[in-house]
Amino acid sequence: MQPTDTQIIDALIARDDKMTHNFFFVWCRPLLYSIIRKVFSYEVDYDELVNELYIYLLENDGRRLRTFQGRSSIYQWLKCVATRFFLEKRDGGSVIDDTSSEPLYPIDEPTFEPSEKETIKQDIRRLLELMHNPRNRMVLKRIMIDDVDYEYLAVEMNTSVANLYNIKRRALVELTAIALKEFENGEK
Amino acid sequence: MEKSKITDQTIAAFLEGNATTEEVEAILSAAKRDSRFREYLSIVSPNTDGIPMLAQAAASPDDNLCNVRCEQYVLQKFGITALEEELKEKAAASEWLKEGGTPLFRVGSICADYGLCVSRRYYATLKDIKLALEQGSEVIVAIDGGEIDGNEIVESIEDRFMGEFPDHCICVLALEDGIVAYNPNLGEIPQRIARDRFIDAWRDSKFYMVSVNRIEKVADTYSPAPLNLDDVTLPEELDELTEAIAENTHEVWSKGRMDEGWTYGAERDDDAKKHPDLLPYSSLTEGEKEFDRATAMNAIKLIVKLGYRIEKN
Repeated sequence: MQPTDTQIIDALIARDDKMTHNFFFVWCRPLLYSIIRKVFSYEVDYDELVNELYIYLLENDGRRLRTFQGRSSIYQWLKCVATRFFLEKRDGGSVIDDTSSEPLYPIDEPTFEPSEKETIKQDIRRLLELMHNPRNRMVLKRIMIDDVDYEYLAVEMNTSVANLYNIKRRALVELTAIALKEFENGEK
Repeated sequence: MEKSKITDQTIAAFLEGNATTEEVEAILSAAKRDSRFREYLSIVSPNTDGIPMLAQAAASPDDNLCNVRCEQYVLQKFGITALEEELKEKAAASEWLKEGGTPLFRVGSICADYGLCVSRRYYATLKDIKLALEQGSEVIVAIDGGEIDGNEIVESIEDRFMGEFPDHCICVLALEDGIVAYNPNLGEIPQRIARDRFIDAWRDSKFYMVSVNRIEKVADTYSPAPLNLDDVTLPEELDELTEAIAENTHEVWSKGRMDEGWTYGAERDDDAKKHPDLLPYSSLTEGEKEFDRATAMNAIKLIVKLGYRIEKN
């Protein structure tokens, strides 16, 4: 049976050899291998990189592992941590410490002008219009623009809150893909 | 005022749909400003929906020849002997076999090249496989190979966090309690696969099935299976594109006919090469226009379904 995220974190912090091996070198191997292939355009040593990632996560009595808050599954979290770690390695920079008290991409609200905030909202409205899937678009619009409560929207859509979260997840994937393309084109 | 932070945890929550509106705004704002963050976000974001077309059937990291071997196996069943190396060279030279594997829409190309009749379809069912086998067809299916041979935990992580994609081909030999298959990874000994496990593995290719037979065996039973595109909704701005494609389709068809010597005639007469539709698009009946529009609309919907986006400069 697959262990829970908490069991995995606890075992990794306790340096459980079996769990460490299974987690980094068996279960997450395709996931990490896929990230490595996307980040590096040249041959790299999988074991060496993953060992470095392991050391990074376990440093200071597993301080970084302890920052995992359970807002996502541990695999999703690891995907994000590993991607940032490998990108930093590739670009030769030192890896920014993510203790969740130090933001990776700080957005300091005092310097966030009201006009800029309005620009983002306008961007989102524009991006929503570019979405192909009308249900995805409607869900994000109701949640992000109309600020509708999840329970209320679930009843309105005759679905469960859990299903609504699933729709929102897929909708955010679509929105992100459109945003990345639009912003990239905007810079050209 | 409290700072907004974008941490790995925030991004992970965002990817699972658990981010707040403020976090989504902060992430998109950072993506707009920072190209490096965009690269990071594009790597961690899953692929958008769409049915796999270029997904790598037969693209395991170690060996990308399972489609070639499946087709060699099928050829043998029809009494055609060909060496693996010979087929591999042919497939590579024709760009059916690429470095990353064989694109789904190229599975079966070797057999077609040997004069066999190849039929491909998405969203096939076990019943379709059964029917094809009963008609004497050989059936190749694209699957996620790991879900048959690999570690279940690894595969569930792979499906959820990397996306479902097929990377292997097998030939279905029989449907019994489970599935009996020729799996090129295991050699000639037939592999028995539990039904549920097979379905899970097959699902990753959106139930892609390729059936191969001699043309005389299937000509009478050919049953077209276009993709169901009802779930694809096109944005309004593509309406004018549909009309433009419909009109151009008619122009292309008319030119082709006229180049072959056809002219306008009030009644269709194949011997005299007369056709009532050899008129400008605007003069066609609504029924004729609808036919062209449906062709155009389905082409556009298929493009969207296959995961492409249509953009106007």
